Amino acid sequence: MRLKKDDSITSAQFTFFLLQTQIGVGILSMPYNIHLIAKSDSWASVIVAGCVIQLYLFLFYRLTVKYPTLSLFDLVEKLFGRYIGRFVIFLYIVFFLLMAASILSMFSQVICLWILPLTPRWLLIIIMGGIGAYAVRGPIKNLARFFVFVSVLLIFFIVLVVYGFFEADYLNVLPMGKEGFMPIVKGSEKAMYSMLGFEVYLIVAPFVKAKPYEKLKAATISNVSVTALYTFLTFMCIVFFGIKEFDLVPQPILYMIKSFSFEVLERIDLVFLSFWIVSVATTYMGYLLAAARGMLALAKTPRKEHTPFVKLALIPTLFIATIPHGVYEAATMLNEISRLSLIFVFLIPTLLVIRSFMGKKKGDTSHDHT
Amino acid sequence: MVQSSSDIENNKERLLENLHQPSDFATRAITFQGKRGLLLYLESVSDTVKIQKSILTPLSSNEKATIEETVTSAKVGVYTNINEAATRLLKGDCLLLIEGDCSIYAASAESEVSRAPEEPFNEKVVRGSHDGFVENMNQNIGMIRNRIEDTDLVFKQFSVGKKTKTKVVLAYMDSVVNKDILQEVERRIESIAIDMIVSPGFMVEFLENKSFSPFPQFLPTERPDRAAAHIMDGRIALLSEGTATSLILPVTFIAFFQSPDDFNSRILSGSFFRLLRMLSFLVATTLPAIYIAIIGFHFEILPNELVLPIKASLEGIPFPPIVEAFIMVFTIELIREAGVRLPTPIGQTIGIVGGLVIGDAVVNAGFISNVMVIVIAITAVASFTVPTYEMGASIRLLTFPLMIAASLLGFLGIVMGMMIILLHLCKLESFGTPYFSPFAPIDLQGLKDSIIRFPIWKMNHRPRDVQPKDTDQQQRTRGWAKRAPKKRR
Repeated sequence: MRLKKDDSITSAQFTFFLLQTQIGVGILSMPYNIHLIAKSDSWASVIVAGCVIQLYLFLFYRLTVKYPTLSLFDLVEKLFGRYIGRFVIFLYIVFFLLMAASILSMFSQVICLWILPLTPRWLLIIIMGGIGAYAVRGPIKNLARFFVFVSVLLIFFIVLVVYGFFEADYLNVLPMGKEGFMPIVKGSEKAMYSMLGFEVYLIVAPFVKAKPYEKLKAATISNVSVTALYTFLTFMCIVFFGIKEFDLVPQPILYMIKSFSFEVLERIDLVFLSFWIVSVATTYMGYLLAAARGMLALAKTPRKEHTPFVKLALIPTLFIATIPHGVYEAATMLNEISRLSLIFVFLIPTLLVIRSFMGKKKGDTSHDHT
Repeated sequence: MVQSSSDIENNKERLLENLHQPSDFATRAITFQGKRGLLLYLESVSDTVKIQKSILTPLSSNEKATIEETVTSAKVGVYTNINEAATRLLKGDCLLLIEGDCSIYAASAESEVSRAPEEPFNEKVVRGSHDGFVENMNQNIGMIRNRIEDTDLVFKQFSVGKKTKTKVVLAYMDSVVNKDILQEVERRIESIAIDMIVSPGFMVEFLENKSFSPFPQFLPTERPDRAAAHIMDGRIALLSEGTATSLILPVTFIAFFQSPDDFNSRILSGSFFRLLRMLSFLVATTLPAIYIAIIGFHFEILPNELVLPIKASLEGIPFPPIVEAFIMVFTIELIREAGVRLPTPIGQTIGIVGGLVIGDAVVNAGFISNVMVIVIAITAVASFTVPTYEMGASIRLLTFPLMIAASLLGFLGIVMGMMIILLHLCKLESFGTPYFSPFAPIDLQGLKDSIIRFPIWKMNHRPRDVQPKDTDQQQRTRGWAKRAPKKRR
């Protein structure tokens, strides 16, 4: 039916794809989580996290240079051998599904807490899941178009938070480095969890019609933007609340925005939450897509389309998302599952890079099963 | 296959039989070079003046030449097959049968029934061309040719409908149009197997990708200037015989919000109108939903000064806001639908009765709140500012699901509804071109002619969504505005 069958996206779309997957649920509670560890130096933690992620983007870039057409799953199977590879793919699918589910769960909890206290959570989860599944079906380029378009909303985030400058006390960030170096590094771990999503680089990169360094550039722009945005948000929260008050506000950005009032709108936080929903949705879509692509890689069907697997990926996320009760349980779940990223996002790709260089020395990787 | 014979009476009988003894059949005996002959035509589709001038007069004067040389009609065909001859008769040709001659001569004499071009009823403009397509295909083609005098302008004819044999013409610029799209359009037209094509609506449903999408994927227009402009953009205009509406395909979402008036008014005011229309799209789809969400879920979003008046107007209203809204929207739709079919003076009366009397009475009776009447009225007015009727109707349809979503989930429902609409727009493609271009995929060049309009001399490139072969449409349009010469040292 369609004229053009090829499913490819531009490097600009790739930037926004990563950007929208990275910015998500974490945006509300991230400053608080970091604050618990790094106190007034939280903003530095975000920058450190951004640098670490950038380091990994370079590693990912190495992989794309060597295997420009292979996705993460293809790489795993190629470099770890058939049996171990397929097992790792399976683990990846579980990881992505768990991430998607915990995002969904966190979303429903926050909505129940802030806007709709009486609405059953499963209804929110099902609707959000349905929208995510509808989005992920079909070519990736359609999803990328959507991600680019909704990025306009990020401007509202910034504008709303900038308003806080009028009521901020800059002395709150001083003295810098009060807690020492280690809390900053430890805090960056928390920051990193909120900036997850850049790992879809390895899944979407084969669809990008660009040279490897252009992909790296796109990912770098995305990472720098996210780091800048999160640093800015965290900084604003510190100067707005100060150390003592900060301990009491687990969703600092919402509390901050709630305190503003305009002539025509009294509760800006409701507007902010409405836009935030879109960011959550895009992150959820990103992980759902990753899981569906993983299933496609595992199933080895001749048709290279992930659409039939979207339903399969959707259902477990819906069930897992309903498990936690209360926003703290959901936050804990999100936190624990994010911790798995140390293995899936940081450890395994590192192994992949090492393996790819070892393979080069041997000259042949096909007979490796161990 | 019935072959004609040399017996003209026999031929005539067979023709009549083939056409089931038509009542508008006319025949006249003639003599040509001493031989007896018969002249047959259908009074309803043939022009007697033409027959007189180009067939009868020459026949009576000439003595030597053959029929083809004698008759001065624009086209003369020779047939030996009764069926083919009968089809010619239906097209308005006049048939000549000569004693002792097996051939049937068909001389063109179709009557040109057409009306004078008028300004299209629902695409009025303030400035510019007040011309409109008519039901006659040739006249429509002429109107486009007058606007684009170029040898690259192609009109390709198809005949659709097994029984109606409706003439359908694709008009496009050969040097600009994307060949893949053209091929696909042709393939789809040729695959239509139906007895009857009545209106453009038939063609739309047979050709479009997603019939159940709320958004129209072809732009219907009765304005030749609009059609010509789109043809120059590399799009294809589909004209069909017997209707004044042409279809532009493939089009984008934004095309439904553009009006030729934008380019006839000044840049700033043109941009302002565009912005107004895009805003009216948002208002028409979301305003009732936002109001319902605020009343039902988020009263605290209102500033203190607004709380009292709105609370006061809601006092004593027996229905929940969603029911109120549905009653009002339903009433407005009733008035609109009644107004469309009625003659203008009565239509206005209905508007006054509906708008003023019902609106005022319903508030006084305490059924509907004041604010709800205001909200629904603004929504209705906003939905009518869209310059294309089809898009206006689509927008009014989208209001309903958003209202329901808002009454169930408040702002969350609206955002989710809008997300679904946006996703659908991003996924929608017509003939392989993205429907939501230039917004998604984002196209900075294309954005010059979207929510605002840039100066015409800034738009050097054609819209990219149709991937035209020739991307530049102008260079150095203001050649007189020379840059100040650089000072040489």
